[in-house]
Amino acid sequence: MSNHNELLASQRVLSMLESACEHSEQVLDSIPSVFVVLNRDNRIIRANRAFCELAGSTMEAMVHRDFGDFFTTENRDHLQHHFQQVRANPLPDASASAKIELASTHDGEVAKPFLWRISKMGHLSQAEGQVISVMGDDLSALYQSELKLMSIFSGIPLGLMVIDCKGTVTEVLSEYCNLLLGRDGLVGESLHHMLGAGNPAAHSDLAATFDALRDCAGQPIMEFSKLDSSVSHPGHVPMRSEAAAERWVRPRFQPIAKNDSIDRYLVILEDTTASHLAQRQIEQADLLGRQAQALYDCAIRDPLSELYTRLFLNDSFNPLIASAKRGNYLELAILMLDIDNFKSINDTHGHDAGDKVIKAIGRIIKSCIRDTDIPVRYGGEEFIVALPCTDSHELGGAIVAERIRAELAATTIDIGGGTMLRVTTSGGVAYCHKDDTMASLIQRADGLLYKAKHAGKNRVCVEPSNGA
Amino acid sequence: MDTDTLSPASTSPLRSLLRDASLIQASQYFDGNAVTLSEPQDLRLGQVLKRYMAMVILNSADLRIVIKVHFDLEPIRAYRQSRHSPESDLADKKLIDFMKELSNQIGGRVCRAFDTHGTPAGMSVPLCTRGIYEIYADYAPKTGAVEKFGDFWRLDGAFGSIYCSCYVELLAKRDYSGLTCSNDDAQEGELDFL
Repeated sequence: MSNHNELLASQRVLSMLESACEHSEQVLDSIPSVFVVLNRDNRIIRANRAFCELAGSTMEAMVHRDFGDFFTTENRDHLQHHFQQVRANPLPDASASAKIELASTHDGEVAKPFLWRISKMGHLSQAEGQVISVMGDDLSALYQSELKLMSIFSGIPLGLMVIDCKGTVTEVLSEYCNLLLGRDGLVGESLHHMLGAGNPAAHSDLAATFDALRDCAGQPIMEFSKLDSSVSHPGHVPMRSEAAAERWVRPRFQPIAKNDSIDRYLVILEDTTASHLAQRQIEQADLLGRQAQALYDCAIRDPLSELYTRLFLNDSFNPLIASAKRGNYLELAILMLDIDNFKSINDTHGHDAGDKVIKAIGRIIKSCIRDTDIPVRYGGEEFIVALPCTDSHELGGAIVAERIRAELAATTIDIGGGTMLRVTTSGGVAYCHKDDTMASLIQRADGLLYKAKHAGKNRVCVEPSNGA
Repeated sequence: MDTDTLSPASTSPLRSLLRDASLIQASQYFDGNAVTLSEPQDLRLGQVLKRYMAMVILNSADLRIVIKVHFDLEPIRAYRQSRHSPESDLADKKLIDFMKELSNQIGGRVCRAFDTHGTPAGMSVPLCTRGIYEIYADYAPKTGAVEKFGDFWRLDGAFGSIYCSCYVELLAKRDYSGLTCSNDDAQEGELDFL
């Protein structure tokens, strides 16, 4: 009875082992990876369901099929090279991996890229020879994701690439790199050389940057973060290409670690051409503005009298009159002056003498007015002064006009050649009324000047009341 | 296979017994249909022959025999469907049990032959595993105190083709020349596996 029980127990154990073996085989059958076992002739002696479905066949039909039948001639040779290497390797757990396309098994189907992991199985069969297991993972989805990612990389206006610690390009992640650097075939080239070519101005900065990148090789990433930002993020670098228009590039470097130490760098090339050109245009516009201002200053400033010109009269008087009408001034007086007998000075002493008289009266006018007053050389020997007044002076325009007249009359002007000249002026002062325009105001001042001339010159006629 | 150094008086009757037992039993098992035995072409003993293999082990004081039946499921499924209702439940496990029973019956027939010969042998329960495990089998012939030899053959019939393989270890020198496999104790009827 005891023997019978032992027999039953042994049978039970065998049955359990059989089930366990079958379960593990079913696991192999159901894994999504392709799994095959090959004999010494690379013929299949075990294939899982994934491979059979891929091949469109059954597991039974797979036994002793040539695994090479599922590859193109070129790929078969490539794969068999790896098989031979694994078999020849004396290590009991020798293995290898390779990315090789599995040929299409159905019409219209494209070949699929697979990552194959080849392992030597420990047992050497007398009949089947050195068997190897081959497991393959379909990389199609991974490749498609990579393609999508690459299309995104290509679409963004950034150049992305990887360089080694010596600055040599090892991988180009976006096609924009070619555009920015103005050339194809970047892998294997020195980024330092490409950025520095034709840019002597940037040479020292770039040299410092690439020296620092080299120095950081093998260091913890923290060492890179200690670098000065001007080193890790150098400024704009102009890229000059015979074929393409001028471009400006700003490189940025990010370390890539391997085993916690810097192994490579991700390079981000930013196309700063637009902002650089915009900056250049701003600078040009600024220069033009300053030139225009200088031209305007020349146009509104009379070089002889150093007073304003008639051009400035138009720009400045109208705002003054508008402001006066809003009550911002107690009064706004317009003083019009004309040098007496100026024609005879020119005729008698020459135009140089006339010019010296103009200079002298310009100097006197400026000495008699405030900074807020606006003196203008209106014509040859005619002058206008706008006198806005915010304090309590009544008829302040008349006071200033009289001061100028008296100062000029008391001044002897050296016209050269030892000749001293005395000159007088006549003036008219009008005050701004509510309904005045610049033209009407000047017209009234001119009328008063005319009156002063007729009254014997060297005098000022003043409008009787303040109309502002 | 190198059998020159093995004693023909021992190996030849055993080889014939095993081949005959498989041929007779297969014919009976597959509804009395004709079964033919042939030598496998382009194959060597020890190679993976089919996707599955069922096996039994016979053991006596004088010898130890492993008998294997190598088969694929689909031809057996097709045979069973042709003989029985197509709607029958033909799960893989049932087909495997069906073929395990064939190996069991072949082993049983061999055991009976040994009993008749006066050398009773015990037999294990049948087991089935994947054909790939054939690579771990050791068919290398031995001579000396313990002799060992292997053999394999092919059976064809309405069920398609199956292979049988065996290896025999002779633990003691003995003359098996009178050993034969008779057909008169054939089991009638069919075990209800499906």
